[in-house]
Amino acid sequence: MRTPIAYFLILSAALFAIGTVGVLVRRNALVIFMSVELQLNAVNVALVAFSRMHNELDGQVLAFFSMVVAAAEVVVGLAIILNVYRRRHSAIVDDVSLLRG
Amino acid sequence: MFDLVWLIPAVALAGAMANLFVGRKMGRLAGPLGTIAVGAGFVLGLLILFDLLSSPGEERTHVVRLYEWFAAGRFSVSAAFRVDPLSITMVLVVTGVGALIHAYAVGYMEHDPRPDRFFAYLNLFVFFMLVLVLADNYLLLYLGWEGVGLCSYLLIGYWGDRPAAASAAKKAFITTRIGDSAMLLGIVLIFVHFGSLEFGEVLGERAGQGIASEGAFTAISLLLLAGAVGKSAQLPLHVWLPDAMEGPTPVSALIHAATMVTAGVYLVVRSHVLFEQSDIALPVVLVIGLISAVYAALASIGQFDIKRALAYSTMSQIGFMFFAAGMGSYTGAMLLLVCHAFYKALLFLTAGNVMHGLHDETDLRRMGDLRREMPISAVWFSIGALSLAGIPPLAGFFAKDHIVNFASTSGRTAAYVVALVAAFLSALYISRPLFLAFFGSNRYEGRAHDAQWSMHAPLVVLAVGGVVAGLLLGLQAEGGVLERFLEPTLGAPEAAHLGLPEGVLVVIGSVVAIGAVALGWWIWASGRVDWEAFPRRQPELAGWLSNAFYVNTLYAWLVRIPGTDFSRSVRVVDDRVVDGTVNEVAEDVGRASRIAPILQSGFVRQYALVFLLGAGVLLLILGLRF
Amino acid sequence: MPWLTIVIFLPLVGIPFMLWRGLSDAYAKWLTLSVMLADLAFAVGALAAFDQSASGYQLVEQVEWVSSVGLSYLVGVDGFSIWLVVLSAVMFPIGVLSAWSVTHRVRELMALTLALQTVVIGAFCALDVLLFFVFFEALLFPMFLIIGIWGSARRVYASVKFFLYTMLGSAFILVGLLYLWAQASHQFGQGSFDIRLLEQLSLSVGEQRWLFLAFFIGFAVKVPVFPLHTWLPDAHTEAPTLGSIVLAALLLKAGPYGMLRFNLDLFPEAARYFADAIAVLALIGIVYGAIVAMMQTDVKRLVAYSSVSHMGFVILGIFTLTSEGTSGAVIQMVNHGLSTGLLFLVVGILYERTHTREIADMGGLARVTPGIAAAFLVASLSSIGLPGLNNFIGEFLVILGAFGSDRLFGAIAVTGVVLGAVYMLWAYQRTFEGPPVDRWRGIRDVLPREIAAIVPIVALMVVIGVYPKPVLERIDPSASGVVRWVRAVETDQAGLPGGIRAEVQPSYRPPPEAQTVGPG
Repeated sequence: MRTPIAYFLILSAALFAIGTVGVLVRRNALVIFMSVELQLNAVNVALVAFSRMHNELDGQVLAFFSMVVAAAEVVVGLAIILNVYRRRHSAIVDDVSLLRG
Repeated sequence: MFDLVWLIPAVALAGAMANLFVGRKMGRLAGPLGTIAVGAGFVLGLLILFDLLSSPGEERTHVVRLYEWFAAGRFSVSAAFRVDPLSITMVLVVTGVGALIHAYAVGYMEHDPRPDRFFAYLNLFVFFMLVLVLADNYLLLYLGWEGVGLCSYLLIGYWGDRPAAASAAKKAFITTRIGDSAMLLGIVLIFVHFGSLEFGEVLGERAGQGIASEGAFTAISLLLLAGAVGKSAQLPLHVWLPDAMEGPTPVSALIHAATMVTAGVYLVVRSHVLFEQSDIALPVVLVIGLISAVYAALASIGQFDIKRALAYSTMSQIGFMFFAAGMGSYTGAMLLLVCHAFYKALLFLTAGNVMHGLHDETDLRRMGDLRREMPISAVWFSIGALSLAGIPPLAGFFAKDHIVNFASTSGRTAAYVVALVAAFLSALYISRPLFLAFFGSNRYEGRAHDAQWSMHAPLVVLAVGGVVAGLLLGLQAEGGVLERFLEPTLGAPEAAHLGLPEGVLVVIGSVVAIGAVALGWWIWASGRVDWEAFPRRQPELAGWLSNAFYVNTLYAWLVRIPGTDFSRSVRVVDDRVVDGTVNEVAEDVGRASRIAPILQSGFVRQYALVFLLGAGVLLLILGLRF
Repeated sequence: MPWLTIVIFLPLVGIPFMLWRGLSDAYAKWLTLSVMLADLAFAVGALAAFDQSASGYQLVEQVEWVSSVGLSYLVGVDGFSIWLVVLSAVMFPIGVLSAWSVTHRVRELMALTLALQTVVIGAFCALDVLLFFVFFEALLFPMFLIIGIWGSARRVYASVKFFLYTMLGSAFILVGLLYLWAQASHQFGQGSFDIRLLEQLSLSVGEQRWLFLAFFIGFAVKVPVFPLHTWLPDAHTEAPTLGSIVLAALLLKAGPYGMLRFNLDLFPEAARYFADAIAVLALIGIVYGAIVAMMQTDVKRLVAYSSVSHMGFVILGIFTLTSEGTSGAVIQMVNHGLSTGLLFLVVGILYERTHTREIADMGGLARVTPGIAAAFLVASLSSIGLPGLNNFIGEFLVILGAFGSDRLFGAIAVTGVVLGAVYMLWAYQRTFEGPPVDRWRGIRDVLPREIAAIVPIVALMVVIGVYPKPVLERIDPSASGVVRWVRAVETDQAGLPGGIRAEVQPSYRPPPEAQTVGPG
């Protein structure tokens, strides 16, 4: 028998909520980054679950896409954080507010 | 032979181009080359004249079509020349007098550093003038018309580093352009009504067959007249002509006396069929001519600059021509045009001799008794002046008396009296420079010298013309030679014999002329009248005369100053209002965009929070809808 | 031979060379010039291949591009555009000659100029409305950079103003053409940007008028029509000579060309409805531009305002809706390109010598630089419509046309001719006449390469003035065609019956699917 879809969704929602809180309350850029990853993977869980529910592969394919994009994002994002750290000796996002209008 | 008529302007154009492009290398040959180019035109003109004379009267009109100039929609116009008695008369005047003036200019301009440029412009002028008189349609005529205006501009401003010359050139161009633009409208109107601009179509029988309303004919005629008035320096567009004397004297003789300024007369005479269809047009021509004749004669008396005095004289004489045309005596106008070309060119060129001999002195108050040192020039000026004054049997006598007397014989008594006054004033004003410059007491410093032979030679021909042209062309027995020659084109004027008998009129005319010259001698040469004190004793009258009744001042007050002020304010409106609105809009956008950045704090976590809230709101909305 | 494609894209061949850093400035200029001369040769070839007696589109080339939205690469010319193509091919080499003395970032300038030539000619050839729009918008970018990088003191202000102002106008066109596409997909079952199909659309009177206005505003900014003209003096004044020449001679023509091609073709009923109002705007432009020009102290601004006045004649000619006026307007576009191009060229030469544009600083220059003075005078004379030179032909036909539609229009237009003489001759007097100024003693007269740029323009001016027939007889069939087209549907108020076009322009055969979907 199948595990009810609700379980997956609850897991996904919980992961997403944790990620969201992490993004909002933590100040270290690396931790925020990890929290974003958590959010992304929460969505991936939901995608795969729906995919199984509908018996189609679209959701899984999309999950792969999302992983690839996340990986690319990590590459770029980490590079930026590293550069910021080198210049400012800090990875606190609130210190980097140069892009204010 | 007629097919080769295009050669006449072409030769002049070739001369102009040669002088323009390789003139610098030719050096002193520039002048002779230019003279030959025009002279060759005269010879060709004579050949065509003989051809014309050998055919019967009705067959003396030939149209030579060169090519289609341009066409669009229904409109089409050709480059075509018309050979008929009227055009060939004009051709002979232009090339004949033109060649003589060119020959004179060779000597006159010998100290000029770039004679090639001068002769290039002069040849170019002759080219355009020939196009003007030979054109077979109004648009080609207009090309010549504007072309001579251009050359007039270039030559008045020939010494352009003198601000006065530059301003005079511009004034001449713009003033005549006002008339020209009206004329252009007239031409457009002709096309609208006739569907063609060719003389054969427009001036043929169709004009009389009710092709357009009388109002339309009046409009066309008056618009054409506006162009003629501008070009011929008649009231109210005459202000440019006296200033135009800033140009070299041969230019004044050729363009501003003998040929270009008479183009207006030619236009009216050529278009007489149109003018006759309107009840108003010809009387307007008559009145403008008559007023201009009297006005300019009075103004001439007030001038101390010899060239300006002659310029007003030209205006007055052309007034006579308009007067004649206005009465329907087109041949009378043409006769005066031809005779005037001779004696006025002679007068101007002799004035040039005087200026040459007196180191560019033009003020009559610093001349006097020049006949001692410039005896030959004194002879020429006397002939010219007496001819203009109308002393029998010189050319002016026949030409002018013919017109004045025609006013009486056609029953226009009031006009006759005014014309007689104008004739009297003419004789008076022209005797003034004659006596002031060549007679009376010596008032100049240093010595004068008479001109060299090369400058006298052309004057001989002009002087002979000034003496005998009237006798040859205008002697009234069965109508003059010129009258009969022009009859196929212009028709014969109605031979009414109202008013005084012809013999009496001739006597009156002669007495008036001789009396005026005698009066002139008494005032300016006898030494019995202190004419120099006149401006002191009568400052008002002298001011009115010397300033030509302050028309220039009036125009400045009416047009130039308010026009400049208006233009300046329009410019301010353009900067502040039209452009100001644009910049204002741009600044408003800029101001608005200074409010928006408040949201952009630069704190990533704040963005994330807003993002979250936004997502929540969206979810809420979606949830409520489904 | 794909004449038009070659003419459009040949200039691009030069661009890769310009990217090579080792190319010296002199070679960059020579290379650009030779590419442009080759392009001119092909443009003349296209002219030779053009059939003068037909009124429809010729030398048409079509390649499917994005077939799902009906976008295709579709180019062709008629009697209007062929001359603008030739004019572009003539004026670009002259512009490059005028930029010979530039030393700052030459390769970039040449690359941008080459790109500009491609989009300018492309805009004149495109028969696909979207393709036209792409070219039309792409014009702005190289011009923006040319003004912004090589301009004078206030170049940034001027270039941004130019860009934003004209961009704003184009937004209206974009909306209009998307609406047309939607209508086409509704009526023909498939969306299309092909002008030959769009002119068969059946549009209600209201739709036509709104669409007409949208297109008109977009083009009017480009012309520019009063009161949308204030970007022009700034752009002209700050642009380098090359920019001014191209802007005046060619970019300004995109506006009236667009009106002729799209406003009259697509919305004939609205064109008739708005004709008088637009003619009045044009007349205001003629007189107003002349008056403001009179009072300018900067010689380039003066010429710029004279353009406002002259372009008024072009617009007036188009909206007289007579074939004389329309022919006059088209030849006037060419004439204005030549005469104003020459004026800017000469003013640019003068600026190189004196480093001032203030008229008051000059004076007496005819003595020092007779060659420059002569060129300026010839350009002025052409510009004030002296018969025998080119501008007269156009002005006369426009006045004739205007007179045919309303006597008063003709009379007002004529005053522009007088005012033109006032400001041009006054400018000549203050610049070149009067006593020589010591400051300018010893400045050089016109140089051989400058003569090489001036002489072709002057020669064309004289040729068009004396024998304009070869030009006019190619314009005339198209002009008569479009006028008949606009007037043909005079009686029909509801919409346009399809097929009239086919009758009016016999060369046009509608594609099969369009024939079956006749507007009902």
